[in-house]
Amino acid sequence: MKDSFNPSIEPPKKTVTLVSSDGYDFEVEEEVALESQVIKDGFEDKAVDDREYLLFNVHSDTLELIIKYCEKHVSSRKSISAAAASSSSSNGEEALKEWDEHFISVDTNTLYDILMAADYLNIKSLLDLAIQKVADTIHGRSPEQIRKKFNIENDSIIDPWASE
Amino acid sequence: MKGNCSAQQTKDMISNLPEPILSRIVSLLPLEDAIKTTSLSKKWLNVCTSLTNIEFDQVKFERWARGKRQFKDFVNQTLVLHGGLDIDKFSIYIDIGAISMSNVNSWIYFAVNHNVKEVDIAGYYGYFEKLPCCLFTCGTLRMLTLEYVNLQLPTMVGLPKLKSLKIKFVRFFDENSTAQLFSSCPLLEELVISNCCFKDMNVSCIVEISSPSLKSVTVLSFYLPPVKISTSNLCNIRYYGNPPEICLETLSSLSNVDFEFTSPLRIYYTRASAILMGLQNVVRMVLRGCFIELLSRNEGSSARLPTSCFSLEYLQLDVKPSKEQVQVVILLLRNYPNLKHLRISVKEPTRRLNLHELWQGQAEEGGQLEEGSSMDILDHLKTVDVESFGGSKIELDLVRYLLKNANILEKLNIIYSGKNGKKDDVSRRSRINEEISSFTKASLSAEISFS
Repeated sequence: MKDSFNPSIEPPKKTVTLVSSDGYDFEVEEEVALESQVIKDGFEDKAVDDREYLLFNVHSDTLELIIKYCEKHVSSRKSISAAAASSSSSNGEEALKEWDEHFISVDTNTLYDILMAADYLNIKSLLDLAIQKVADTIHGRSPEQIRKKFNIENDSIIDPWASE
Repeated sequence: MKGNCSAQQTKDMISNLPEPILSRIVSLLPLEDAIKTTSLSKKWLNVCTSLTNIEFDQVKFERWARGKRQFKDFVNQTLVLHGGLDIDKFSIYIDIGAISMSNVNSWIYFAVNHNVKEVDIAGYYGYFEKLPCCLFTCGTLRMLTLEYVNLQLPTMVGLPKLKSLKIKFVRFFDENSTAQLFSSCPLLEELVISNCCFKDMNVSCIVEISSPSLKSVTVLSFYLPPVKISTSNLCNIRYYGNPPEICLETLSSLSNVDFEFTSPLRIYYTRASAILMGLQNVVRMVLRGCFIELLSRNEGSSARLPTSCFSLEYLQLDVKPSKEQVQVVILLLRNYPNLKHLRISVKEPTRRLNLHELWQGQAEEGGQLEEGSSMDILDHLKTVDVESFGGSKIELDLVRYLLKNANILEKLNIIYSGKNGKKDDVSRRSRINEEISSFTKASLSAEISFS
């Protein structure tokens, strides 16, 4: 019984289609797609019926993750600001941080894909998150451990820091 | 099923990231970790040479290197590897006794040569002796921190972009050095002087702070000669020591002040009053140490306390539980009609036993506080905290006064002093709590809590 509900007031959600490099269509809400600075930049100039983006560099597996991330951030931002408006206490930011941490705990190759996609689509918060994750992975490990973790081939001529 | 793009498990992908991303990764690492990445592969070596934040911390290094490598070599090799990029921040924290100044100077020279913006020089086990001249003529420097330095300034000093200068445990060799240093920083906004002294000090020596661009000054010192502050745009001041001389223009520009005066000597009585009277636009004020004592001893100070100052919202005071000081507090409060938050720390609850009797109402020596007319005061006061509360009669009088006059008070927090070795403490406290709860409250919704 929602007496305030009036379908004519709420317009249908505008959507945008994102096409992955392997040809899959993803229909997402406009505000979710606008998390990407690249999409946002040319958005207003694009005709409304032509809001389809071909993402040549982003595979569907990665795109799915990216969309999941953007959706979560859009919805959390809303609930955080709603909580702030009603001045009720909320641990929204903490919860989101926790969610981010869980989200970015992926294998090295997926992490690489996310980094490349976040860089390509220019999603700053996601890029920061992924870069911090790589830094955290390197921190405290020996060069040999780091090489193993990231499959880095040792082509160094000098190794000035090798322990004697 | 969609294909998996990340199937090639054996390929090194991280190293194929665009160079800007790799640099950002490396810049997030502590320097030791960042340097370690140089040995990963050629690509990573290149990344590491583009570091713009270089911080050498010998304590951390020793923990990491465990004596296998020399700190001096580590720094030198890092700097050799550094490419031609400008350095944003350069900081060293070293064992001053173990590293020669010629090494330190060559590192500083390197940073200055790479258009450094922020320099932080600190150490332990000694004092830096003669810092290179180039540091004091660095045209790109915005922030400079010096700790444990015997400062001998070169004849030419010019830091045209310096905004923040912090000097801690610095010994000046010449009594004109402070003036020379401050006057050569035309854009200086933030100045911190902490525990500095002069090697040879003339009696007439005075530290003058007068850069017109200054917004924030912190002076924490026992050993400095008298300080004189005359600037026109200062917003924040934190001062620990003997009362400084502050010009009227500076006082009226201040909005956030924290004074902690250490000496209740007679010569400072009028200076403390003068400071308080000049603070006409202050929003947040902390008066600690002997400040209230100085005011209470200044004869006729009640007549000379500030005329109404409408800007003050937060006031924090150190008060000794004496009639004179509480009287000063009450007089003070009358002058800040827009005060919202008050925090009082009771200091040295002396004559405790005696006061215990006092509270029981057996002795009334000292008489009543003069409260004067209670019109239009404490009209905006919302919260009051009383720390180290001892429960003496005079403290209760103050609390009674506050409750009686603060008509929109929301919360009064009474925090008892930590010294509770006595057996009667619990029963004594509950009696005090009861008494406070029975006081007349101007604000019916005021909540009182005890802890």
